[in-house]
Amino acid sequence: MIKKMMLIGWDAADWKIINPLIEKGHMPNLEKLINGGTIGNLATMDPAYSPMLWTSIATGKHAYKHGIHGFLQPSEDKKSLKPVLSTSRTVKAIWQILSEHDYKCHSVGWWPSHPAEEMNGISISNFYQKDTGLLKDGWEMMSGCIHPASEEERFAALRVHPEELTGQHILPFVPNAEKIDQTKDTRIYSIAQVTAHAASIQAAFTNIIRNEEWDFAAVYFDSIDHYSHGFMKYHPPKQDHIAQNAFDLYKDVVTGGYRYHDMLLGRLMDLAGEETTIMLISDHGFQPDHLRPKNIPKEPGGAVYEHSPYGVIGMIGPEIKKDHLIHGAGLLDICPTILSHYGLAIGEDMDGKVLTDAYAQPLESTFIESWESIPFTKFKSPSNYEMDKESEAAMVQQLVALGYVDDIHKDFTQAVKDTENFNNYNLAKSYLFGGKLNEAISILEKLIKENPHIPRYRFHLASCYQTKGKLKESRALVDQLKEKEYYNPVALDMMEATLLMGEKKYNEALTLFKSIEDKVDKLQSHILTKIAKCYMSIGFRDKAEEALEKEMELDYEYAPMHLMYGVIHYQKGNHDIAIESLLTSIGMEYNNSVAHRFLGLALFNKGEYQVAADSLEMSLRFNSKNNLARAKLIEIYKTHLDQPNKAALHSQNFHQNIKGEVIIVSGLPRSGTSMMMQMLDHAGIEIYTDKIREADSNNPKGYYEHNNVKSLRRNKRWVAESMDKAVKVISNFIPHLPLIYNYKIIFMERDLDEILTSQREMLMKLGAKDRHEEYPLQVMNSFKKSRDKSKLWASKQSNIEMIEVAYSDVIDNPFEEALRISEFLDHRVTPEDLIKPIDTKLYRQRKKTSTIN
Amino acid sequence: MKNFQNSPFVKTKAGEQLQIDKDGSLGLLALGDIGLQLWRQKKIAHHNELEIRKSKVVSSNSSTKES
Repeated sequence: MIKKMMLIGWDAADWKIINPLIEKGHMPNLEKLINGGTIGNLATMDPAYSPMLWTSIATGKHAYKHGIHGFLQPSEDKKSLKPVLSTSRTVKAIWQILSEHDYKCHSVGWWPSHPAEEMNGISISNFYQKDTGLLKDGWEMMSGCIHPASEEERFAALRVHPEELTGQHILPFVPNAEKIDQTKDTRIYSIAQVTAHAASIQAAFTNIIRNEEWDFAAVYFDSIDHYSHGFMKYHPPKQDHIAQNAFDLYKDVVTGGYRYHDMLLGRLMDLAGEETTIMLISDHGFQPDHLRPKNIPKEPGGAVYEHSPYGVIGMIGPEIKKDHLIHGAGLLDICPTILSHYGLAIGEDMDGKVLTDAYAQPLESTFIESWESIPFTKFKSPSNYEMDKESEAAMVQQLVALGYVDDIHKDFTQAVKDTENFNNYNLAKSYLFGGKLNEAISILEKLIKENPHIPRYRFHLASCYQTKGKLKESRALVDQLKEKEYYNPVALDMMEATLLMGEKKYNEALTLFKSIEDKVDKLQSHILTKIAKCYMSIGFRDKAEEALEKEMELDYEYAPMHLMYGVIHYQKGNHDIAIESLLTSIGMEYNNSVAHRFLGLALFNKGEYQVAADSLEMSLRFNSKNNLARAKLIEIYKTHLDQPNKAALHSQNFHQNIKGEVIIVSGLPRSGTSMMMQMLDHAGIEIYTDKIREADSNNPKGYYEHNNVKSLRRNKRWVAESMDKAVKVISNFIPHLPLIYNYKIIFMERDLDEILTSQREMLMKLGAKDRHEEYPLQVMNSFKKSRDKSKLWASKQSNIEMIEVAYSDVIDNPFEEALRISEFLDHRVTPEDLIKPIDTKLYRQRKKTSTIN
Repeated sequence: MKNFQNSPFVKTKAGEQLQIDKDGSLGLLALGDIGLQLWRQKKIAHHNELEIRKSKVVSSNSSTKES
């Protein structure tokens, strides 16, 4: 049996508007879908421009793969601009793959889909409903809107012109419409336009569904986005900068739009029938509340600042779970899910996943390398399509009128250049969103070279450099922007403070963040989460928690905030709160390896071993090199789930991720670590030291330390520099070693009484009072605990080999101990060289009888 | 499509009854092609009716004048 599916697109639909309407019973059809199906957030992508997003939905690919990078594109002769077209797309859409496999497919209004593509059914392009002429003039339909062209007359008659609408259509949006002088205020006509466009799409789509055979049918409505861009500013609660009169008149337009769409949905659900799977989606949300920006930035595509990062997904059908909530869905998941729904293979070059959790019986996924390399023969993509200049100009003008595109420059050479820049900038941002930093950087560098006067390219490049860890380059750009006063100073301070965080100067960063806290838009900048990160990094966990709770009150929907809150509570041992916060974060941003890892760790601590393993597996899916997650998984499979085969497989992968080896000399302070470093130095092992701490009477031969080690908890990058060298790491830092290296740890042991005496003497030499009376038992226990914890941790890691060496044994039996160390280091050193620097005179605190505690 | 020209209502598949009025409604637009066609037919019928009434008035006026 063929599983029918209807895909309905509502541009910009947002749960924040929908939920209160459902509570009031104003969206009964969507309520039916919610109660009988599966819903969730649908994470958008950056940049959040509709033609790019809807193409990602239809192809399962990032914009840098699918070729749609904006709203407009230069014509072939570069003398004019035209809207993006179906022919601009460089990869296959879902309806092409399904058509090739003989599924009956129809598509109406998808953006962009003009000229209408050939498919195994009817396709109607996104220019079909546009009112490019007056009703009295006959309102001709643009050519290329319908495939097959033989159906043009049938569908032309189903278009609704805004001039046809009456007060009955407008009053639900503007109950006091009669008070408006329409010769001065044209907003009523814009409502009529949006409403008529949606009616045209609905009429064409329902006509197809009622009269044609179909297996897959897709329809796209841009109307909620248009109602929202035009009228969200009047949506309650009233904002201070909105005039009372305008608020009173237009406050119901957005909710009116949603209620109208619920009616459209009701009809489609009726026609689809219960045997069909319906998937309702939006490409992004739209800030409906206090998060609405007061001003839209004056930059190309600035209207995007009104969007919110989560759209909606709702599914209902015979195979879909009922009354169920899914987490972590994104736009890129739609195409793979549809392919799996029909039992077709997913291209490995697609960037999303199957939303298997929405199905009562998990969908089985199969894969092929790519659909792009398979020649499709049954239906051809339109080629050599040329829009007539008049239509081109009319469509461009509509995009300007809707606020998607800025006014077009009168000089067409400049207009073409502006469009190319805008599209390239979007391409760079798409690369950035897809984690392709190098490609993003290369485009931004080129844009800066060609447009040195446009600061936002520098600003974004500085941000890319930061993410890439190229802090010097980022600093240079920030300094340039500051020097030339190129950019908004507060935004620059934000960038500077973030840069300081990257440079691990958390106190300075915190001071700067605090200084601008009241000047920035707290919601857009998420400054409180950044402040929390600074507090975390300097050890003020409670203050970090406080900052995050403040941010939560402002905007609950910010995944990094919940992640950090979860990590704090994991560290505090509040595992239930940690799990809840981490699940919330994952629900908003699924593909975060760190969030899944901490969730796994918190579940492990609760004794939930199977789900902990599932979370850690998920963490590895998003970062296969995360050996921290892998190490815990190995432990769970070995010790708790009795799955040695899985443990062995992970162990193999664990070692494949290892980048090199580091020799660690560890132990408690004053346990002989400096002596061991000296021995290794003499034996020819390169030492990782900055030589800042010079020799003194406490360590006459030097300390062999490096300041970087002290930052190991926060900064692990330096470990790469210590590869094949020996580095001194005090025992309590051992559990912070990154698991992407093999370590040979020489763990120095010394009687704890001796250590305490040695430490006390050293402190006294440095000017401290004799604290002998304050010490003993408590300090001794704390030392012991820290040492034992580190050793226990190290003993569980498969990338760590450890040898314990007693200080007293080295002094008493130097050659035997040196021989043992030489063997441990695979004979990279000889015992003879090792023992040369041993100076028994330095053993000043020897107890009469030493025992290892 | 059936001619609903003379019916004042249309019933949806779900049983909802919608009034077909010459001024239309969002409900009729939401019905899609059928709702649109019913509304347009109603508008035409209303227009025709007006035309007939108008012509009747004109002809009765002219016959009054003639007499």
